[in-house]
Amino acid sequence: MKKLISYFLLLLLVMSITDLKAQNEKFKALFMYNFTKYIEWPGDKQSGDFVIGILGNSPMKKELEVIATKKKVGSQPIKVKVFNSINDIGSCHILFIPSGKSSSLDEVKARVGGKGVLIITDRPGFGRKGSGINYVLKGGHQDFEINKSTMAEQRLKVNSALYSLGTVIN
Amino acid sequence: MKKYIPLLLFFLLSANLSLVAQEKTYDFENMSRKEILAISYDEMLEMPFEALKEMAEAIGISADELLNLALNREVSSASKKGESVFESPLSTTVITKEEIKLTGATTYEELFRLVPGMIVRQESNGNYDIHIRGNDNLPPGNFSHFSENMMTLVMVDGRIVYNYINGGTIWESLPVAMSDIERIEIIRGASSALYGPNAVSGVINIITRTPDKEGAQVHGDVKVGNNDTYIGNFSLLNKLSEDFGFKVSGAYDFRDRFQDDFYEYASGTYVPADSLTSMFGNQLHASSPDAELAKKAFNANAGLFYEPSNDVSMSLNGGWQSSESQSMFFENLATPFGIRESETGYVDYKASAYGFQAQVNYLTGRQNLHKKMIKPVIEYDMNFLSANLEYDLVLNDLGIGELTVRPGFNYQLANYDDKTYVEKVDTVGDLDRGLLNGEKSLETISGSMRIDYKPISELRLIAALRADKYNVPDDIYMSWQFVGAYNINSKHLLRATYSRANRGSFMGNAYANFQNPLGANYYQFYVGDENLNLLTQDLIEIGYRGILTDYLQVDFEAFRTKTTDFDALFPKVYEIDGGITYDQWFYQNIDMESEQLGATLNVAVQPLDNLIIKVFGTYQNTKLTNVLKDISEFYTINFITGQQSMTPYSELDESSFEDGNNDWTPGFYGGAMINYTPVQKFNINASLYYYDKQTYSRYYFAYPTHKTMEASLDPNVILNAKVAYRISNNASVYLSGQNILDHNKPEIPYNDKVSGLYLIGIDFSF
Repeated sequence: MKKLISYFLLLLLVMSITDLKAQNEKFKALFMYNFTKYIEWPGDKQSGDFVIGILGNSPMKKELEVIATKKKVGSQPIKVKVFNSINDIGSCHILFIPSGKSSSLDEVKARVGGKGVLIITDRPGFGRKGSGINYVLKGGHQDFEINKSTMAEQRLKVNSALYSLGTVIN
Repeated sequence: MKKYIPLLLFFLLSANLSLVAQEKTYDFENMSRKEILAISYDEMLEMPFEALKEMAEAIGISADELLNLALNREVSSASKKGESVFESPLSTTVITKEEIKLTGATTYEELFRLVPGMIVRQESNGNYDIHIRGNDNLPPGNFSHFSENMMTLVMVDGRIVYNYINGGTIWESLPVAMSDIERIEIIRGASSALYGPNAVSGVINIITRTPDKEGAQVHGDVKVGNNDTYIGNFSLLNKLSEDFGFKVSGAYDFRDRFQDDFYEYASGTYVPADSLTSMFGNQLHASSPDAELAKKAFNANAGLFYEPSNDVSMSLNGGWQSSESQSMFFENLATPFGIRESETGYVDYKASAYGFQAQVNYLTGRQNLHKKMIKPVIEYDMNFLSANLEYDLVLNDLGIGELTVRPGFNYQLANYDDKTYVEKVDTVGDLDRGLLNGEKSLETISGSMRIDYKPISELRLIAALRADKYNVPDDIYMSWQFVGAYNINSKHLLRATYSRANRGSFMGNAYANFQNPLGANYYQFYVGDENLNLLTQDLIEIGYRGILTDYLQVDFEAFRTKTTDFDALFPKVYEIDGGITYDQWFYQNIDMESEQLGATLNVAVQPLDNLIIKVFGTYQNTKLTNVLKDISEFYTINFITGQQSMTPYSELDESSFEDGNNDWTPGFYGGAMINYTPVQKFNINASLYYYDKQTYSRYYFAYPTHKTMEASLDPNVILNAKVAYRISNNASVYLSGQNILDHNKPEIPYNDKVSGLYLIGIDFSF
């Protein structure tokens, strides 16, 4: 039995050396950057900083800040802002609602509806509930849903190529 | 050190390649997980979106997301509102399609061995009896069918699928292909107010896939194993346009038993089928049964889905199934096993529009629970209609927080008719040889109201009240459920529930009328009672869910239940008329009560990115009061005359009863699951299930009187495993085994000795 335990511990040790960090937040952040290539924001939002807002704390902040140091959206520098509450939500291009805050979607929509904000959620079923894009896990990998009518309501023009990359919700 | 050299080289190579990333194409399918993960971040930033998505697909789901899935899945059953399992205010477990694939489970019932708080026992190859938190085989010492689970509400896509003979579930008759399952939601605890009758020990809802992507999606799985086991299932889904989709699915499952003899109560040994004799000396079978048969099941289904707008959606599903299994279900006085046969078809229409949700379904078919047996005839034509309408009235604008009120209406009608089949059998005098001997109906009309209120975002309160008016018994039953859940923060949730639930009304209990000649001058009758009180349970439960670290989640629940109004098939009338003895047994309510006290802990941990471990267990005690000591308490033999007399249940004195524990519910049961992905293409999954010592008791006739017989099972471990190798993005080949330690013991006394089942298979998905 002791031998078995020592083999198991050894196995754990070996595996921890090759431990590979979780990829999903990274992919979500990279997906988010890629969305910007297929979406045209209203004219009044095409200058100045490109603001990605996050409602509350999320590991996405760290990932997005890495992208912000390396990339721009068109000519707009990327700026990542954390809004601690719904009342704090200021002007932004993308608003990411982390999974734990999903129930705030309706209130968020009431606040930024029609203002050219891409609302991104991260909870099964929320694409249908009216976010613009919703991260989902499909067939065991990171994927996304896109809600056509919400995108139109938010005055966002979407290149049809994006629809073929995700799952379209009416 | 050597292993770092290729990594270093690879790093240098990928750094070089990143300079020309724009032109680069990726062949993720043929790259190892390590190679893919070595791709630099800068390179990922430059990748076309299509390539990035392929990369995400090739890497697959990371273990932390798996862990998240282990506790934090979307669930719609939990409080009849979509939410994550973490937020669920009830004791909830969700088995996802990913888990089904990883574990290699061959039946739904095996999957329940991965669910905390569930007791799963295999009867014969692929046939199981399952219970949520026990209360099984009550009252002790009764007939076989009292050991079956008759107090769980089992549904497929919200459509009731338990049978109306006794409330048990004929699992092999469920028309669902495993590859078509999206997820299975299990709720532990009395929940009639939210879901309807029979949600006493809990609810199981099997949810199938809906087409969500344009283009054909095919999922399937084919495997073969020992004991002539052949299992296959497939589904094809296609969303033809933005608002219209369809699916077709089908499955087959053929298996032989692990042995071809049967336990005979009379002799206490395993004997060939043809020689099986009842405790009264009567031959069991009318014609030779297929002794080797364990299961033979097919099903085929089709569905149409239409969603013209965000506010309106509807679906129409239909299907057909044919199945036979040899397992323990209904008493036959000779052996636990019988062949049960089902041929049924169903249609199920669901619509949702502007807050209204409607579901109407109809099932029709034939079942035979005593195939090839001389008596009684338990073969009938049946149909079942259910209609449900609910409306969500959202009152968030009142300024008092989030408030949803959901009134609901439900109608159920079950008709069972065995006339055609009873008439085919020779009659002896005027005796009725069927279980029902005619057409019988059970009708329930129900109204419900649910209030779901969040005064502040951290606190959720649910109050549900339901009234069910039954035709038999002619009475209204009220059930209720009060639930509170408090999110201390996004990582800790406390919850509490108080509820009352009742069993449904069933054909056997209400209408049984079988007159059984046991000898030339001895008739035993089994008679139902249309006025039986329905079993009722009160539950108090508290729970805690916590994400303790990024890699450790726990889910704890403690419960106390009190169950009353059990019924039993006990002697009531014993008379000797013209030299013939009439020994009449009636379904009767008994004074026995059960009190359960228990706790379940579920821990999911992810020590490494590619390793997830889930461990769970339930400690519980079930105290019984006023339990009949032994069936023999009813009978007294006059040693001078040799005559036997019987005292009815209501006239037995206190000395015939005792208090004790339900020894058939193990004091501890639980399991563990480990999933390990050493390299991208390999997945290893092992699951273990354990139960403590159990003692089963049942009715026995030993000339000249009736008594209780008992048998114990030692603690047991069942180990299942699957090793899968991905041959492409679309297919994996695998080896899997159920009970690979091959314990070769019955999991219910007198049932088959369960051997290992070893399978080889391929699953595909494109």
